[in-house]
Amino acid sequence: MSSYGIGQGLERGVGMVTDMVMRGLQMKQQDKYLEQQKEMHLDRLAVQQGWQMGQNEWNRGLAGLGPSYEDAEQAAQLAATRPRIPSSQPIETPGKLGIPLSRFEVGQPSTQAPRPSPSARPPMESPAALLASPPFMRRPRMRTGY
Amino acid sequence: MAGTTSIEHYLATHTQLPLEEVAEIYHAGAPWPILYNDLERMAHDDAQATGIPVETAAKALDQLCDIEATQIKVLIQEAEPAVACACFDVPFFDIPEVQALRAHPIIRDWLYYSERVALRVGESDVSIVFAIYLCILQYAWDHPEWARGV
Repeated sequence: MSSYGIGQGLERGVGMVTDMVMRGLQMKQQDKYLEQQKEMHLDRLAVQQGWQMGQNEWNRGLAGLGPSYEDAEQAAQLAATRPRIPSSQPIETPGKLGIPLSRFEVGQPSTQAPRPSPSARPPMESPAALLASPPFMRRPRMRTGY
Repeated sequence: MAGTTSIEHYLATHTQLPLEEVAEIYHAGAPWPILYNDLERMAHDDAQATGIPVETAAKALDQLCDIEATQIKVLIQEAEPAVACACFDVPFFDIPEVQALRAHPIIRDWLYYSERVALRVGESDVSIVFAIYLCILQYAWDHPEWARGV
């Protein structure tokens, strides 16, 4: 009990105003907390969706499902506008090993390797001569059983 | 927190605000005007001015306090639903239904002092300073010896 002789009514008024202001402040804090939680949830959702999109991209690459529609369309446009080289004109640009690339072009008439003349062929040994040669000169037999 | 007193702990407990924030606001506004001290002095002044006994002047002043408390009660009942539905980003004293309560002479004086303290603290919300002021008044009513020493 307060020792103040007067002001009891005023103290009741203070109590009532305090109750209302406190309720308002607490509700504000709760609403603010809920709003923050909602924003955090949306942030997490956005991160998760971004991760999922990246994961889909990665999976598509690994599974070999091919490029995206935009990539395929761009490749088709490039192929359509690429200058054609007539097949009669072989590409003589050497590759890394110095071999003309035209030899590896599919469908291109490659220059045929010169066939060895029969006169350049070494003389064939007769079976009798092979049998007469030393054993270490012969091809060893395939041995099995190992 | 070092250096805090029981009044600051009381305020932090009743307002559910951080102790550091409460202590900063409390020290920024100290000494807080305690109306109950003024009532006793006013009763003595009225008795001296009119020649009536102090008890009679105090009783009249007490009845005036009861009338004002009834007025505040009516204003609170009118503002309560709007306060309950207000969004958290709307300041308490910006709610239209609170304007009548804000215009009450006693509330207006307390709010004016709270606004000055809020300005002194900086970015502090006026409604928070006001809530702390109300809690100080309640503490003063429960601890008159503390209030008279402020």
